[in-house]
Amino acid sequence: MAGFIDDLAERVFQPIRDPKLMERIRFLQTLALLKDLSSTQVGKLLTECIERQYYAGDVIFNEGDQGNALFIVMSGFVAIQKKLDNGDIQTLVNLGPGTHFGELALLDTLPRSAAAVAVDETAVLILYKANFDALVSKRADIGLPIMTAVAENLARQVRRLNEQVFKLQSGVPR
Amino acid sequence: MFELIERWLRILLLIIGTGVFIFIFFQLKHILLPFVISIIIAYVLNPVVRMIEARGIKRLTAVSLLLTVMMGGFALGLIFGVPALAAEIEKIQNRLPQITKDMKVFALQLEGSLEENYPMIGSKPVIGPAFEALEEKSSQLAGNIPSWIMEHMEQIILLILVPFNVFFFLRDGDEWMQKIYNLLPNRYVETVLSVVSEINASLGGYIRGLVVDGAIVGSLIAIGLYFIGVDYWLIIGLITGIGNLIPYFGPVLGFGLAVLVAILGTGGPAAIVKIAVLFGIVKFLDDFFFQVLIVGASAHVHAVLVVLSVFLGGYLLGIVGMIIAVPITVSLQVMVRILIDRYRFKTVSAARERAQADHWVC
Repeated sequence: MAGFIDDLAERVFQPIRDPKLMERIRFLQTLALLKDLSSTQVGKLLTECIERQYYAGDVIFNEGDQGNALFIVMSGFVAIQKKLDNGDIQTLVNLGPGTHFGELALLDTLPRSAAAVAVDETAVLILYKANFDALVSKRADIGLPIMTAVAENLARQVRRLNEQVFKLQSGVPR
Repeated sequence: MFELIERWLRILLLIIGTGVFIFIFFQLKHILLPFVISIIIAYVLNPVVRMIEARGIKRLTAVSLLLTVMMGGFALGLIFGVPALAAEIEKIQNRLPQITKDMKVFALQLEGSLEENYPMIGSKPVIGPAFEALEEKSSQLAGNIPSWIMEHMEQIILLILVPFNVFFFLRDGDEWMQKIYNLLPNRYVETVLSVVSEINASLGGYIRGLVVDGAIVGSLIAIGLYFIGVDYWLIIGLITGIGNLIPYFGPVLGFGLAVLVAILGTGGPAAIVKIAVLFGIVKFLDDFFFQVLIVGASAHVHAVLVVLSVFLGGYLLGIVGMIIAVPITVSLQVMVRILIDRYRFKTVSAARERAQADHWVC
């Protein structure tokens, strides 16, 4: 029944769709985080997000700040940075359009493990944890695939880290 | 040192700004009702607009579609409802002098009976003069409903602006919020977002559910009173439904009105019993089914706080204040909780949190 209503809605709304909005939705569907979602589901997610512009050098969040949101890079670049013991700042990675960061905030509200700084003029979509939690409880068809994608990403990172730690401890060259 | 001064200056500016806003709000409160109603309607309809937007439809198109459908439904409601309402108002207008006379006779009989059985009360002409004044007022009102409408034309015209206000709030509301977020300094973005999102989560379902709940309760009461044979069933149903927006007071108002009409009409004690049973059944269904299913998770505000806020809202801003009292209380509660959480978070050692890591993940 839900599928039938969805199909009917698709046919009814097709002629009056906004091409720019559809382009945005298609762009978001290319993200690994949202690859399992339909255009309507991504559209719903888009309405829950807030867009914000940052200029070059703007600090999006600092290491140690309480994390409450996931960020999706729409344009520009974001540097993920960590402060070393000697006070130097090391850039871990530069994230471009179509990537995301801060996803750990969807799981807990512990301090951010690194800082995020805009490298140039950057537009991000911000999905706040309360909105994500509401999606998981009321729209599990949207929330759960995102949660699964976050968990898969974290699992990959943990396996990679385990291997690196093992190699370091056993003295095997990287 | 300078940082501390700067921080206190900012807090002072914020307090002054809030004070100025509240002062202006109170000065303009008599024209605020239509805007408050428009904001509530826009807030209730926003999720529907977002649902249409999620299909890739431009916001303007989504809002226009939705409001066209709603205005069509409203027009149909007017076509069928206005003649019935007008007939009931005319009946009240014609019967008001007789109703006042009947009430005076009843009250005088009661006064006489009390003086006879309790002579210590003493005889003081209270009822007579009070009802003479009431009779005079009701005769004036009976003849002057059209001129009352003329005197309050300004407020009525403002109410007519509600659909236009709703259109603009729906079309541009999200964009205005977006602009406010863009103006925020980076360090405050997540805190403000957290406040807005959590207020939305607490309040959104509550307000939307309350409006739907009021419509259902009002309809059930109107239908029930019609079958019982109580006069003015439509007006009483409408008042009960609207009154449902005010926690605790609204349902009592509807019941009181229905009983009063039954006493003054031809229903007799049997009608009063039927009205009591009807309101009891609807209240039971409302508390155990409608509110649970429609209003959903409550706003998590203590009942005493709800009553206190409604009283305070009514004292400060009249009906407008009573309607917006609970939403404002919920918003303030969420803001305070988040600010306390943020303050606590800063004082807890991050190293201590990390040291509580559970186990090695493979």
